[in-house]
Amino acid sequence: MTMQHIASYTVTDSGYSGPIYMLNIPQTFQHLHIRIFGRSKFNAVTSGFYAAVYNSSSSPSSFATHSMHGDGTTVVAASNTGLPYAFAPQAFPGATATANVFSSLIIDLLDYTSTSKNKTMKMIYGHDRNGSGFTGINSQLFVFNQAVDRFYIDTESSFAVGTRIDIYGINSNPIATGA
Amino acid sequence: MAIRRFSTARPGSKSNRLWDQDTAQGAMEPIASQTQTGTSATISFTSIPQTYQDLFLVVQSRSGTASTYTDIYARFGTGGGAVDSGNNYSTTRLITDGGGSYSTDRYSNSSLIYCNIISASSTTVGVFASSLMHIPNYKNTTSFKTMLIRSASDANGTGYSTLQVGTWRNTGAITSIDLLTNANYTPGSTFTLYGIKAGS
Amino acid sequence: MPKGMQAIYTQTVGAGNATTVTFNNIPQTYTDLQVLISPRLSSSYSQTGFYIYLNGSTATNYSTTYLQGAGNALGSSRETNNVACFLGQAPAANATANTFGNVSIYIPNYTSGLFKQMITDVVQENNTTSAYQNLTANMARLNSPITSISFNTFGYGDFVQNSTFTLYGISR
Repeated sequence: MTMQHIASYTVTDSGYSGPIYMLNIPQTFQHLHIRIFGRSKFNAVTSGFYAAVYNSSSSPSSFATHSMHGDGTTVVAASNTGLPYAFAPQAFPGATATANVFSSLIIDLLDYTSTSKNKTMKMIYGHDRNGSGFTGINSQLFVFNQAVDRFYIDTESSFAVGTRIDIYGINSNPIATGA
Repeated sequence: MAIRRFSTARPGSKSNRLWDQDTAQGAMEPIASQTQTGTSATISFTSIPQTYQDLFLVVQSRSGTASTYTDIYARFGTGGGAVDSGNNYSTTRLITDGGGSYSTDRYSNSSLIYCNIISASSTTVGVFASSLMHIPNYKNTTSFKTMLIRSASDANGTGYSTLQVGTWRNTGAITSIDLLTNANYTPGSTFTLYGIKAGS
Repeated sequence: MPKGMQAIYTQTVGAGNATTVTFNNIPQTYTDLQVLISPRLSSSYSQTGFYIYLNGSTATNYSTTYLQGAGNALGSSRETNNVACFLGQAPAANATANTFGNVSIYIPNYTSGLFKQMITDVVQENNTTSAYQNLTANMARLNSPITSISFNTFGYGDFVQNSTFTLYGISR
């Protein structure tokens, strides 16, 4: 099948700290599709999303992030360049948000094995906290024309119990000719 | 190949949680599909299998209500029971109507999630709206349920493009979904539920 | 026919660039279509808009509603009675080198007699403050099944080498 599950990780330890990494990403797909259900332990209502792609021998030389989002009151377009990671603001509910609310993040990373293209990641995401919330589209540029075999995500003060990441490979082995 | 941790650091210490990939498997499966032929205003999916990781709904719809546009709404049920119609839902929306206007709004303590703005009977005949609805972790019993919705309803001079997120304040596993509209769904409206599989 | 998602065709633009990329002879055996695109264009700008049209037709039966972010600016607009549907912006020659966009187009019920209402998410990217994201609704007033899909900029450059286009069928 075209869409294949590669790996999952669920945070079960309340003392969990640090990023979530995936290593040894198979190089046999064309695209990656990543689904995150997440919450942060950061002592605030919301927390940001941080990500990076790299491989065993090199890292991106620079990062850029652009987003467009609404919080129920204000629509904002924003950007960040020069950070050492990609960043999506307010992507996760934080520790002081309504209990049990988690964010949904749907991420596509195309042509992740290419050695001639930088990596552009697209994400739609959102969470609603019953009286407040956040939803948006976010793009992230990794200036990195190497094959990606490692990926990490992080948030301030790390992830709450119940956070889950699922990574899928999308292959492009066509079944038809005559295109 | 099992999923393994490469780090054995103590909980609470600064540690990197690593894992190796599991054996690949096909991920997306259709569960059920309905096409409106009558005059109902509610489409229901019941007895949803509890064997997937996420749910994914693809909807193409139009309403017969006497206006240009109206809404689709969602409600959820758990434990095999009826859907929850209490004020246990909320929505945050990001919307444009293409006319130089964009906005964000929210609905709190609602009896349903606002999913999409769809064309109705006063819109050009033949125009149906499209929606993609993601429901991650639908069967877990420790978190509220989140629904992320991406929708399109262009009608050549009017229309909407929206990104919306809703919460059902219930930690029960979702076993049923109602998708409701005003008046009725126009015949030809389609509703397909897919399951997205994952490893443990 | 396998259920779920299946790759149908894939195209990678070669060294000669491509003015138009087309998927012909689309099988009629799926329920929905999805196209994933990693594009870059040759025009002398940081970004250029590009379009989709169906069944080889550039009759004025296409329209678009979109919300657009560009770094620190927002915009919203629509196009009506156009020869193709505007999708969004792709990186072009003046964007950061080797940078390609990320595009997803979902087309439900592509074999039906309904007008085709497409859900499109487009991000452009550039290592600067300004880069574009589009949340786009595209409609083609086409009552017949989709048998071909084409992409073009209509005079604003070609798709450059290593741009990739993959068509998927989704079955229920």
